[in-house]
Formats: sequence, structure tokens, C-alpha cells
Amino acid sequence: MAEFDITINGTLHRVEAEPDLPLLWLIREGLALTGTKYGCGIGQCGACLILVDNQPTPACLLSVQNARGRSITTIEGLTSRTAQAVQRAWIAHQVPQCGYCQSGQVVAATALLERTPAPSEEAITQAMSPVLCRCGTYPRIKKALNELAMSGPFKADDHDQDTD
Amino acid sequence: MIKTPINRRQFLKVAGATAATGFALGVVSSTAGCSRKPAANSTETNWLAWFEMSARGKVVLHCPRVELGQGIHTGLAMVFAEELDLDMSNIEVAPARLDSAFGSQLTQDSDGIRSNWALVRQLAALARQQLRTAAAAHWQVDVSQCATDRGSVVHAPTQRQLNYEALLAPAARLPLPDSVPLKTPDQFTLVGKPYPRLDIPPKVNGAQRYNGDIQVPGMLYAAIVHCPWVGGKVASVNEQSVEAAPGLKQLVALENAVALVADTYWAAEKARRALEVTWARPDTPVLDSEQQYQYLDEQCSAPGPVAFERQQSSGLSANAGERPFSARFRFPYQAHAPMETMNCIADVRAHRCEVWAPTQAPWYVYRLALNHGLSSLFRFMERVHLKLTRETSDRIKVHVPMAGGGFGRRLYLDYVQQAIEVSKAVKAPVKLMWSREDEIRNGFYQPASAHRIEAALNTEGRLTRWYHRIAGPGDHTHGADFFYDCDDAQVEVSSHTMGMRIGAWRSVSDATNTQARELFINRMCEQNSLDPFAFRLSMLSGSPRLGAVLEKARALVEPAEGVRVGVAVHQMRASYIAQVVEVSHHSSVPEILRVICVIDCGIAVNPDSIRAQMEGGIVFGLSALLHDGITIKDGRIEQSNFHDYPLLRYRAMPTVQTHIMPSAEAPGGVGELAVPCIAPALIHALGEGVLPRDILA
Repeated sequence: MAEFDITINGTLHRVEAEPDLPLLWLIREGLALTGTKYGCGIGQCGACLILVDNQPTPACLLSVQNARGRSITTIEGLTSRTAQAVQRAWIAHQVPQCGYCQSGQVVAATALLERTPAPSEEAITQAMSPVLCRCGTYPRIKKALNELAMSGPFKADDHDQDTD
Repeated sequence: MIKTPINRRQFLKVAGATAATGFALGVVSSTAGCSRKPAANSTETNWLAWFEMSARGKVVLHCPRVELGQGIHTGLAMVFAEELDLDMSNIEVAPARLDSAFGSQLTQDSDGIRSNWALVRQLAALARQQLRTAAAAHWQVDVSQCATDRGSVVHAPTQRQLNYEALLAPAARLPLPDSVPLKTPDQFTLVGKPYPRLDIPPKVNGAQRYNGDIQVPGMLYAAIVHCPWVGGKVASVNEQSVEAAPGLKQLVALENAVALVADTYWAAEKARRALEVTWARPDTPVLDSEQQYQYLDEQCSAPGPVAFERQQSSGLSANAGERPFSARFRFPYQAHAPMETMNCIADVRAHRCEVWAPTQAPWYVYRLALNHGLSSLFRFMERVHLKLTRETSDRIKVHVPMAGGGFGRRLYLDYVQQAIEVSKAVKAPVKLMWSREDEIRNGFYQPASAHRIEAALNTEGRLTRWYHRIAGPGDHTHGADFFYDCDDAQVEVSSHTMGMRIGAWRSVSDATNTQARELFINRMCEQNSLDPFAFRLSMLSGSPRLGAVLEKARALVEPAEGVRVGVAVHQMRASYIAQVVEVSHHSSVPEILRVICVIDCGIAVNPDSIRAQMEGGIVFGLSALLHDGITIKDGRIEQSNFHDYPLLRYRAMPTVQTHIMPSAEAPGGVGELAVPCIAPALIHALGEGVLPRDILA
């Protein structure tokens, strides 16, 4: 066990944990941020996607030790205008079915649009393929993202929290 | 409006009312964490077991089907609001308590809407009728002058109105009428139009809670290691191998698995990796996949029990020019692989048991708690209570949170029994969580099957003989019926135990029987230069609704150079479907242009939910083509996670266009409908020499 300073959703947490603890379990159990889900444990399904310095990353593969000094954002911390637009579009297009993968989907989609406000179909495909959906919501994700890609206003994005 | 007679016995059974008192102001027991007892002088009135009306103007509909994201709560709320004449914004849906009046309360078989459509309509219409009658009595006018308007009864001539809550008490005391008016489809204002699903908003921002997100005071965590040999058991556990495991509290040996209980999941999981268990292999190991297939192939060479036959003569007898065709097919076991693995929270004390489980079968959870949780004295008391009152008591509380996908897997509650046994052993609440490897390797799989089809065409290209043998573990009769015209058709289905755990997988044997049948027909057409649409259409006199969807699908195809079209049709659970896949062969890598999906599912209650089920079913069916299924070698399941049991990804998703045929027929099932046809349609559109997995990866 050792102490680690981890910044999650803009808040610094000092945690006591084993160095190899996957951040997924710190987030879900240690910090009770349950929006990030366990799906496979080997980084194949995307249910545990978080943003690490704005990059979508599987939380199951990132150890607490390696999360030090990084800026971690979970689904709960997605409050930017881009994130809100994604979530509005998800509702407008009735995207989720069971919903279990959707935190990962929304994280991936938000990161994509913040990085590339008007992404090509290929860029969308690349960004979204890491997140599996057993219910098959892909067609609606595609419609939602195609619409968002054409929307434009997220080009100048201000976050409601400090990005660092 | 049409008048529908009330089935008094059915209503009285559900209502707990008597003929004399009509709807009693009922008291609903608060078991199952669902509907609760209203206070003695509360203004809330329980109308039957199905709904409550509160003074705030809200109606709570108790739904005896689990919302899994398929939209059943929203769909039944729409049906209810339609006949009761309520605004959807005034309806909430809650899970129904465990009550035998609801039937099995299983969420399966695409039956959520189709099984409850008539009863929910009648209940709502009855309530509306009683409210109107009560208002008429109060105003001393004729009930025919009393209409309803979204939650109020109105008397147009005098412009008086009363809202439903004000009329509840007098309405509840009225005797049941002999019949109630139901709307005709042309009068629907809600049903038939897309409505945004009630369960969606919390699913877009991480707010939706699943079972693994629930914390219970004093809760411990359990990981589990299952015997890697199918049918094997625990022989001995080397406790010393985890002596030094930090946070580990206790080991609990179950019949074929060992649970590790710790104060965090990761501590349990790390201990699991270190734990040494000696397993006892089964006396008769499960056969390797290839051996299973060979055995099942042999069974297809011998006659089996006849599941379907039609012997008639229409003059289209086999003649000298008859061309026979035959083919064999093999289909593997398939895992469900919902995104949320199996998990369960159990808090077992001698005198009471509380279980939180994502499930499609809440009654099974209750029974497991009854039989494996409660001590024998309290089990006896609960059984007596159940028998006398026909209700469950607070001794056993079952919570059913939103599940991350079911597809049939959550009908089999091994994970619930495990959690109950572990909690009982450690005398504390335990959250048992399965890894993905646990889920892939300990499934209740879609059963494998072997098929042999022999058929014959006469010189006019008409089918004169169809002989289909199916062999596999479990029940392969679903979808085995041969619905095409054919004088001499016979389907034989034999069941053979192979020692594997099997269960209902989305669309069950409709998937494999349809794939064999439709692939065979497509090949037969191709070899004889017959148009697969025309050929089928000429043989659907026995199923005009299926013929109609196929006609529509054909009309939607735009023939193009270099584009191969594959078609397949099926009918199941009172619905009809035709799927067409268009594949472009212009470049060296074939490309799916689109999937056309035409369905007749009767009245489409929430068309958008239906479209979502078509899209989802297609993805589910396509995923099965990415690999060889669940395979067995040396008595062990070979697959373990998504690297060797892949699911379809976003990048491989084709464009899907769904067309829902207008219909006034009763709603049919749609949850499984889109799975069976996609494989045979795609395989035919790809043509020889192209494997689906080559273009779907």
C-alpha cells in the first residue's frame, strides 16, 4: 500500500492503494463514481473509458501508480458544452438500450468532438470502434454523431472546469 | 369504440376484489421492493395490482416485465395511457411486486407487449369507464354525456369537469360492468407514434445505476473461480496459497467454484489469481466440438421425432424431372455476452433474505432466496404465508435493478444462488461479481445443432419435397415449421444431451433453423437460376402476411450492377420479417451497402422502440458470424474474453433501413425477430468464397 495523489474531475484525491490497483476500481469503489463500468478487464470493450489528459483510455488498464500527475475525467466530469450537446443528441436520437456501454460511448464521442469539431466519417469510426455495444445502438450513435459533426458551434469550446 | 367483454374471473383474480364490492380499496403488500402499502387514510388508491393513482395526479403503472432497455415500460405505459386517456407525462412505471396474478413475470420470448396488450387495455378502459360512471352519478347525468380528457371527466353540456383523483373513491366502489369500450386503432393518439423512452435520460450521463453500482452497508465483495472443466467440481482448496492475500476475509467452496470474499473487489480478484484449487474432472468429460458435431451429424442420418409434417396433394407430384438437393449445416454454441457480466448482492440472515440481482426472472430470485437463504424454520413460515395469502412477505425482498443486457442469460440464476450461499457462509452482505472470463466460460449457451435438408424441385421449378432433420441438445423445435407451400414437407427434431449448460439465447432455435432453411433455399435458387424473391412468393399462400412483407422488401430493392442481393424471411411470435442485404462486389473487398428490414408486427405500439430492436437484433445476429462460436477442447471451453469471442464493432455496422407495415392486428413480438434472417441474407449476398468475418471484423 502507498499513498497517491490523483486528480479526478478536477478534484485532487489523496488515496491509499496498492500501486497496481486498476484505476477503474479506485474510481468505482474508492470514490463511488459508478458511471464508469467494468466490461472485460482487458481493454477490449470500452465500457471503462475515461479521459486521461483528454485521451480516451481504458481505466481497467491504467494503474493508480501511472495515473499520478495525469488529469483524469470520468463520465461524471463531462460537463463541457460539447459533452452536453452529445448527451442531448443521445436523447434526441434515442441512442441507449440497456445503457451499460453508454458512459464509454459518450466519453469517446465527447473526446472526439472536442478534438475534432467536424470529424469525418472515418474519424468517427476510429473514435467509436473501441466501445462495444451488445444491444446494437451503433446506427443511432452514427446518426447522432453525423448530426453533431455538422453542428459547428462546438469549435470554440470552453469547459466549465479547469483543464490542465 | 368496440365493446370488449370483461373476463370477470381474470379481473377479480388480479384485483383481489369481490363481485359485490367491485374494486375494493385494495391494500398492496410491500414485498419485492415495489408497490407499497398506502397509509390508512391516504388519498392514494390501489386499483388492482397493476396501478395506483395518487393525489398528485400521477398514475404509477406496475409493470410485470423487467425494463432491459427494450422499452417495455414505456410501451405498456403508452397502451395504458391510451385507453385511460391520460397524458404520458402523468405516468410513472414501477416494477410490479411478485404476485402470481401477473403470471410468471418472466421477461423473455418477445412477449412483453403481445402478452399484456389485451389485459392492460381492458384494465385501463375499465378504469376509465368506472370514472365516467362515478362522475355521471355525482352530476346526476347520463354517463353517455361524460367524456374524458387527459385525466379528467368532462360533462360538455354543463361544462363541468372533475379530475380522476377526485373520482377514485366513488369509482372504486362501483360494481364491475359487463363490458367496456375499447378504442379502435383509428382512434389512437399515442399508440403507433414514436415516444421517447422513459428509461433513457439517466443512461446518457452515467447516472443510471446498475446492480454493481449499489452499495449496501457492511457489504463485502466476492470474486469467484469456476472449475475450468465443464461439469467438474471442486476437489480441494489450498488455503495456504492465499494466506498472505491482503484484504481477503474468507474462502467459500461451492460445488463447482470457489468464492473469495474480501473488503474490496480488487483484493478478492488478486487473491483469486493466486488461489490454488484442485478440481475433480467429470467422470464423462464433455466431447470436443468436432466430436459433438460428428455425433449430431450422425443423428441427422437417422429418423427423429417428427416436429412438423404436411402431406397433401396439389398435383405437383414429383416427376421424372425432379431435381434433388441436399445440404448439411452445423451451428455452434453461442454465449450471451451482455456488457454487464453476472453479479448479485445477497444479504442473508436466518430470518430474512434480501437480494439485489439483475434478472429476467424475479420469481426465481425469490425461490432461490427461499430455498437457499432462509433457515429451515423461516423457510417453513414463508411457505405457509405464501400458501395462505398468495403473497410474498417481507422475509424475502427482491430488488431488480436495470440490467446491462439480458438476451436470455439472466433467466439462469447460478450467480444468484452463488451469492446467496456465499452471504450465508460469511454472515454478511456480499456483492458477487463475475469477470468476463467467468461469463464467457460459464454460460447457458445457445445450443449447437446439426442439420440435414433434402429437397426437390420439379421441372417447373416448384418445390415438391422438403425434408429437414435437426439434431442438437435442448429444444430445437422453435422455428422448425416449414411455412412454405410444399406437398411433402417434414421436419424432424431430435434432442441429445451433450453435457453442456444450454439455455435460451435471443431468438433460440429460430435463429439456426431459419439460417439452415433460408440458406438452403437461396442456394437452390441460385443453382437453378430462380429468383429468390419470386420463388418464395410463389410458395407463401399459407402465410399471406409473410408474403406481403416480402413483396414490400422486393419493391424496396434497387437493383444495381455489381451488387448482389441476399434475402431471407421468417415468422415468429406472431410477427413476420423479410431482410435483404445488398452487397457491392465492385472492389476486391465486398461492402455491405445496406440492410433492408421489412416487418409486420401487428399494431406497432412504439415504432421507435421497434426500429431499435431491429437494429439491435441485426447486430446480435452479425456478431455470431465473426467467429466459430463457443468451442470445447479437452473438456474445457476454449474462449474467454472479447479477444477470442469478438462482438461486432461500430466500424462494421451496416446501414439499416426498417419499414414497419401498417397493421391493425394484435401486436406480435419484436425483441428477437431481427436475429434469424441476417446471417442467411448476408451469406447469400456475399456469395461463395467470402466469409462474413472477413468483412465484419
